[in-house]
Amino acid sequence: MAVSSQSKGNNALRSDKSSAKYTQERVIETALLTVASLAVASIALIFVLLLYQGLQGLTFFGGDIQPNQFWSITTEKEDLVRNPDGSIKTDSEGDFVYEKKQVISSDWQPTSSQLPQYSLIPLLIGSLKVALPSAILAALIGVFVAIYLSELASVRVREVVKPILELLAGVPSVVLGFFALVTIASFVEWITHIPVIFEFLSQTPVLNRLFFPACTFAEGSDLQSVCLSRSQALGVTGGYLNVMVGALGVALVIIPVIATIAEDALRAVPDSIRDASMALGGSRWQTAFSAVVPAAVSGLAAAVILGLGRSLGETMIVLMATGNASITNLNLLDSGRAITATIAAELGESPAGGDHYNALFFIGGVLFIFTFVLNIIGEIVINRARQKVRGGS
Amino acid sequence: MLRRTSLKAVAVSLTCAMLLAPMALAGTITLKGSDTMVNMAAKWANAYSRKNPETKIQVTGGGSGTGIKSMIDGQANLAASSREMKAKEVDGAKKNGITPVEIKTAIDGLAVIVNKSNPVKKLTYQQLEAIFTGQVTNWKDVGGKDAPISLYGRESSSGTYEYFREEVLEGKNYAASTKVLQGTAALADAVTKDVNGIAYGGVGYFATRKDLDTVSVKKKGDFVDPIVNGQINDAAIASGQYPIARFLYLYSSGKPSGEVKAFVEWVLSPAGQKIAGAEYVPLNASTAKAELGKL
Repeated sequence: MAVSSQSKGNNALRSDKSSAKYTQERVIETALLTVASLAVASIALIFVLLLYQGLQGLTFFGGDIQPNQFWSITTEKEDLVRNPDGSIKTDSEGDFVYEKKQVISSDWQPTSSQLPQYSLIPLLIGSLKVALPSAILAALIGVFVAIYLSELASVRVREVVKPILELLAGVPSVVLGFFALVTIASFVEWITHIPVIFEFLSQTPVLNRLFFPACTFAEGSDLQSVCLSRSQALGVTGGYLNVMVGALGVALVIIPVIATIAEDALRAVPDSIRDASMALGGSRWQTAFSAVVPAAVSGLAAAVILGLGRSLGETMIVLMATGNASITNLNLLDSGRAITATIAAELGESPAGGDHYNALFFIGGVLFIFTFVLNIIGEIVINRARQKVRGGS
Repeated sequence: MLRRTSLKAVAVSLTCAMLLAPMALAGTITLKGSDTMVNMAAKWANAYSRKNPETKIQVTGGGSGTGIKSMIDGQANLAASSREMKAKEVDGAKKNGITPVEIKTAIDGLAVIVNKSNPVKKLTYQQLEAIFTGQVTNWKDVGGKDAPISLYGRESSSGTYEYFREEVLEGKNYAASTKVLQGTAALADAVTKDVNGIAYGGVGYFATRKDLDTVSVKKKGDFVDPIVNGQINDAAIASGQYPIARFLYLYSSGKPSGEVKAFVEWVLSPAGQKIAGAEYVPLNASTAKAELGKL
């Protein structure tokens, strides 16, 4: 609808039908329309391809995967038998004794030689474990940077900081991944093992389930034994390569994304609002935080949502820094396997058209829907914000 | 839709290949396959062409399966493979009128590595299986300190991953808590930094690393360390005393003749084996002789 009303408006401004320019303009317009529709068509085609290939693996469409396999399956598992004192039970020849058990399993084991397992649970948890913390962190930093740049910074500071911020968005994610792997991992390891911080993280309820660090204190030290007993009591362990390392790396990518969109949102706030606040005797700070930010709040929310979408889709940093273990706990200082990293690591070697291949397309489709919905929400919120600001002025 | 596109791609590449095939026959040996072997094969090709400038050897990777397929289709003279040909592949080759000849060229030993500070330096197959399947999660269960075991492994696409699972884990699944890293170098780095870490990888890579330790492994008989005093324990690996080792193969489409035969003979000669030994474990004299006998 918006398009048709626009073209109607343009008609009045178009050159006279008889003039040579008219044809020229029509040709250029059609070319631009083609390019624009190509972009739309490619998105649609990607979606169709993902669905087509992904659903082919399902039994409905002639594949071998039951839909519930994407959740969990009942399978047989061999468990070690333990003696009452906790040691491993051995038979007369000194071999370990195993017993078979029926378990409900939700694992991602696509190339298992026993029974391939395609559960989405560890992958969804892995993706969210990276995306949410990185989005929260980047939102905090990005929004404040935007407020500073748009409302408080002098022109000269803004002219220096903004391009640098945009430069950060241009750093190849493989470089950031390497940085995360080498530097951020050591940093997280160091900071979580400062005794005060360790005490705080491992003692506070809830926090201790989200941030339990790896027990890598000096062997035999008091802290190490405290760490081990707490780790055992909670049933969580940390690791050197963990989701937090990945999330910090991803945050570096999405801070500029969020900051740029948030700054646009703040700048879209009409000066009349600022002037009104100033006229009432508000300081620059009061104007920024009590007048401009509330007016732009939906725009800021949209920035965060779009940033979240971007962090869900980030691949290289996650692949390099999070350890990629398909586990299902919520400890951010433990590893996690994101959907993107799984596709990147496995698609190249899975036989085309096989179950594993189709399952990867399926999880790709799930990710696509996730980010698509997030982006739509972001767009809606932005539009609302624009209308609100326009209506208010 | 996808199928049609890939058919087209296949058709195009087949046409290209057919156009290029006559060139491949004149004085050029094409060797294609395993990514594990591609470095070694390139070194062979270099050294051999330097000695025999009239022979050109073209080496490409792509994976064992790809190499074998090319060999069956007649696109490559030799396929490099880090695993034995599957029965299905042999059947496929016979349908094309090709009887592949298998030649062992080197041995790839896999080492299990732990952090330098870890007191556990010996593990049996049973213990390794229990550790990597996630049944044993604390080092004290295998004679170490009271600390959780931190598992590191390769991607499921890796041949090493598959071989280690079949050989050591008896085909059972790796523990879900295994952290999956890209490549042996990343595994080695992780284990040097994680005091509770354990991982596996090609023995050649670890020989030069002083910052981690390889574990002595026992299947039956004695514990054997794949690296002794910073040197790969060639004798133990070549004789099969060290159990986690696989052969690296060249497959030729039919009995090799002419230039291909000369090249394979050279690979099995002391000069070729010396190059193999730089990265992997060379064949012992009797195996090399037996392989020469197949030509």
